[in-house]
Amino acid sequence: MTKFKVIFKQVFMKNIKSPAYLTMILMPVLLLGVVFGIGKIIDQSQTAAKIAIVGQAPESAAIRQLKGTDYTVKPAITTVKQAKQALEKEQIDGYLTVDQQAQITYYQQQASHDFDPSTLQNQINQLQLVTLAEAANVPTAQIKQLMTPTTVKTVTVSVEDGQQKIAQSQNQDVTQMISLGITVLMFVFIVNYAGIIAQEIATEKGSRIMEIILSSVSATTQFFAKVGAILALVLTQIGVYLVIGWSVINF
Amino acid sequence: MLTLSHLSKSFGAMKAVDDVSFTVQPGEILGLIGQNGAGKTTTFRMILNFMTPDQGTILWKGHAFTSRDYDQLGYLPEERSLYPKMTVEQQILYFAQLRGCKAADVKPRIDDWLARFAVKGKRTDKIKDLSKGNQQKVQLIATLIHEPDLIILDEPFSGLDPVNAGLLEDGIEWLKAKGAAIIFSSHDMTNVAKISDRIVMLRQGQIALAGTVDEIRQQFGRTKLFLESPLTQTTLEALPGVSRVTPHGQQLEITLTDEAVGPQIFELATKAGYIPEFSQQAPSLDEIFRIKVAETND
Repeated sequence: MTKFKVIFKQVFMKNIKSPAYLTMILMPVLLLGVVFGIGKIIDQSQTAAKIAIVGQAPESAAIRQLKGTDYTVKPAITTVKQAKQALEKEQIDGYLTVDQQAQITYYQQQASHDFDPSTLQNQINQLQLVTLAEAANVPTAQIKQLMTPTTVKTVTVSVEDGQQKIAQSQNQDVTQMISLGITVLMFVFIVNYAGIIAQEIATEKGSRIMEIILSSVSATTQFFAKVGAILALVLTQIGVYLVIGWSVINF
Repeated sequence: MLTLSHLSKSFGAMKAVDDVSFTVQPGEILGLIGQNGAGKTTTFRMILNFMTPDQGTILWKGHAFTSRDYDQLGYLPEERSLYPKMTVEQQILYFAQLRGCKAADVKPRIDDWLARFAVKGKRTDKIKDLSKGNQQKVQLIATLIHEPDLIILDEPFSGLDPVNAGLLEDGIEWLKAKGAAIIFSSHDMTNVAKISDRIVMLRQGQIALAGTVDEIRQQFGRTKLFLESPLTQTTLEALPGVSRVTPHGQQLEITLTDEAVGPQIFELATKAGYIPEFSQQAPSLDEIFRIKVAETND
């Protein structure tokens, strides 16, 4: 075994077996797990609010058919009395009344799941427009036109030599994530490995071990062997993360 | 064979090594003695290629010392230099491999060497768990196990009790018998006198003494007399040629200004017949060292 390999193997094995290194590898994984877990818990606590819509306005029936991500409507409840009973029994989180002047009032209990009725507002406004348009005898086709929202499309371009080319917009998010990820990773690696490298040098310069080593191998061989071993450690760490990431994605 | 010719090295205004020349033959032990700061470690560092001399050359087997010669070299630094968390076996193997040995060749020899130096500890003990003396012995083993042709030992006897010092002396003699050229430095003149074939004394970077132990001692003449006889201290002090008489129990240590006085004292002492001790010697290496050092301080 060449002297390069001897030093390489010694530095590599010493660090791989050390508890500090294992902690260093596992720490980001654990942190990610914790962050992810907390995120999931927060998500789960945000279940849709159960609401009821009451009122005699002509739109009420239509409004009860509305759907949204943060609420579900219980269509069975149509009167205020039913709603109050349901609220008391906590079968619903709150109820909405729409009066003749299209004023919306949302009744909820203090301990109720938080629900912001303004999300409904736009939808209700639209429905009212439709109702008014129908009452004004506007043709259905035109009502449909009125109701179609405008869409906004974003096109990412790159301008080279005065010529504009359309870049692939769907990769933009991914590239942003990747660049952020790389920056964070670089930071983590530099902080961790600076410590390891400093310790390697300190052990040998602090005592006279360096003298023995320099009288056994050339300084260049020793330098490159150490650098190589540290690089191997970095690659091992990346490899471990790739394996963990791959197995998480696949299972 | 190691040849140093007119070696000089200065650090700024201070001349650490000043025109030092000597040779070490294979199968020879050279003792390098000198006070702290005399230039011994600097000389070693120049031999090992850590420092470039300002002047002079160092030749090993006729050529300049290069990295290819590293495998034939064994070096023991002054301070403990071991990896604390390695085991004894790992440490010895690592250093041996760095000197070009194969692990398979070295492994079977480790037990022999541990026994030769009576190391108290197992192969699997960590270095930091051994006592200082045992650590030093492990380091010695790591220095010698690849049976180098040139061995440099910087203060190898420091911190060793007399028994362990004896074991080390035996080890060094064994390697000398194998034909290695050995240089070692020490402050303990007893060890130096006992095993060195030749001695070089450095004083302020220059050579103050050089030669075999006997040659050096003879330079000073047989001016020490150890006597156990009926003669009293006062009688002896009154004699011409006697500068000082120091009693050590029954024995009187007489310092002479002229070694020719010796036979006269012998006559006087043996007048009544048998005496148990009469020994006329040159000063001990220890005393010579002190005399030489004092010369500069005049």
